[in-house]
Amino acid sequence: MTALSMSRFLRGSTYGIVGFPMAILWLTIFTTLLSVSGSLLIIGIGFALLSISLRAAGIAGMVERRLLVEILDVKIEQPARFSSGPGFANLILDPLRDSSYWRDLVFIGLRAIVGLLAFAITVAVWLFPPFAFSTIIWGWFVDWEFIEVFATLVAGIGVLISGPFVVYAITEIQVAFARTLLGPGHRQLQEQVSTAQRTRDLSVDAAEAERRRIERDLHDGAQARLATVAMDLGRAKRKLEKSGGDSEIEAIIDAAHTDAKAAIVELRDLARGIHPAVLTDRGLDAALSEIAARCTVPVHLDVQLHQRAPAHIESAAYFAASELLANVSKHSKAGQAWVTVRSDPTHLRIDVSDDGLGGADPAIGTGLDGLHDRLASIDGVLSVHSPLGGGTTALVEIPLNQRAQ
Amino acid sequence: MRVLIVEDSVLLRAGLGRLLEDEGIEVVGEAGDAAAFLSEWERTRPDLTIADVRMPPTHTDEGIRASVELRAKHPEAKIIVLSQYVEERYAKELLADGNGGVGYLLKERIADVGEFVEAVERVAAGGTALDPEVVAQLFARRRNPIDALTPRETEVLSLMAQGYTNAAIAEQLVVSSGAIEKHTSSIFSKLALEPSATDHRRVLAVLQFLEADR
Repeated sequence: MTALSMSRFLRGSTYGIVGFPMAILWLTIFTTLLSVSGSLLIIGIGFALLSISLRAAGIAGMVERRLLVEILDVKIEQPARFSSGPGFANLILDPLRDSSYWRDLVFIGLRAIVGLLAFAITVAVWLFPPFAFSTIIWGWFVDWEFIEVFATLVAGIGVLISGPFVVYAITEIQVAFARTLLGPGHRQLQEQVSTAQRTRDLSVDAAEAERRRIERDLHDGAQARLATVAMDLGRAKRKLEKSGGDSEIEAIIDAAHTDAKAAIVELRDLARGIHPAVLTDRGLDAALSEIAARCTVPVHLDVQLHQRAPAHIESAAYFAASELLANVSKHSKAGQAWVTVRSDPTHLRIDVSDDGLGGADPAIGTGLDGLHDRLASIDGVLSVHSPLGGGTTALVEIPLNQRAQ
Repeated sequence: MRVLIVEDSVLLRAGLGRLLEDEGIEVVGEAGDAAAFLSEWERTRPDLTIADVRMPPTHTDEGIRASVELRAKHPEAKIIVLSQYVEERYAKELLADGNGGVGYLLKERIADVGEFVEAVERVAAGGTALDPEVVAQLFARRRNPIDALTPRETEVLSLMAQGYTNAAIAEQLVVSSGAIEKHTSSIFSKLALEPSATDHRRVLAVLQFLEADR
């Protein structure tokens, strides 16, 4: 027997032994409480007593959770308790309406019965082998036949070998009960998940709204002012040209004009990177045809959507396609690329493929990390198939309608 | 020439006004949203309207919708629409009636005063002016029946779509006017356009081009 399983056997045995006093304690308390409240149910006071019994079961559950940690090192999270607010009536009614208290009570009942069994088994497993082996000494005095002593010895060896497994099994059964009944219920876990999802959805929406706001501010502010500067420089340039003025000044104005126009383009690209206005106004098809036209590789674009997806999904899909097309431009050395966008009632799929070199490894800095993260925030998945020399196919799948209610 | 400016940014409106006045173009009215656009147009009856796409209240495509509405009522209205980004459908919606006298340019083109003024004059005279980027996007997108055209014809069509006359195209491609004539008539026949008034046919060629592959 290895050290690890020896320690498990010892822990399981301790838990089994402790099962006896606990069973007696719980049986005493709860048979009394429940029988009294049961008999008084006809008059209202019985409900109050039942509520008290349930609260007591809650405390008993805490004690049992503590025992599980201390003896078996099994941690079970306490379920969140339902509370409908202050007030005496709620104090009475809450436990009755909260399934977690009832589950505590069921566990206590099971623990009492299984605990007694576990205690009996543990005691037998520990005491029977010494008893059996000692027959060699005292068996002769009580006139046992050889065969009786032999059978007892064999039984002792059998228990010695199988005992730890039996103790282990009964411990595991109790742990399984505890996990099912003392932990947060399935519904509660689901609620936690959906709360987390809602929170995440809200932050995705907030980020989306913020990006749009910044884009709008840039458009109304810096972009408009810069456009005016470029226009005025254009006017100055034209006037100088017409009047055949100073060529030195003309060169300066010309440089300023060129820079202003470049700044407009840069600012426009920056704004587009933050949030493309065309996406909000005209949807994925229009926004993608813009980036397809700007790609250095000829792109065959095919977008077929039944209806517009929610803004945060459109936005993620747009950035996925533009990121993937940027990769095609930068790394693939492809002659052609294809972007196909399809939707069904559950998913939006974007397929970006090229006939380039292949061998793209998402693990080594091809700029796909950010895309992975961005997609993960809306449960989207990116898969890349890129055999050496065989082109690259990237598939993005984004679930639709997956939002928490 | 009398021009109406429709633009919600006061800054850009003023800048554009200064620029046009430098060129001897009279600004007869200004409007900041679609409703004011239509009423100002009725009041001033300008030779040309220069309108921003993005206007209150939704800041999306009010400018296009108002322009299409106006031209449905007054097909003679000449309009250049300025956009912050390229959207081929905007161009298509504007050109759809096949009457010409429309333009679709990126806002930043205004800074190239010479070319912008040329486009203004062209559209006011009933021609078209499509932004080179719009044209590039259209070519990236459509393969049919453009595939039937030779590379040179495609080049000519692309300049035609931007609104240039045969003479201007010849100058840009450094060939004779006669050579361009030949290319354009070949384009017209490949696009199955019946001979008619040349200007009208040029608009139709662009329109055909917009309709292709859709």
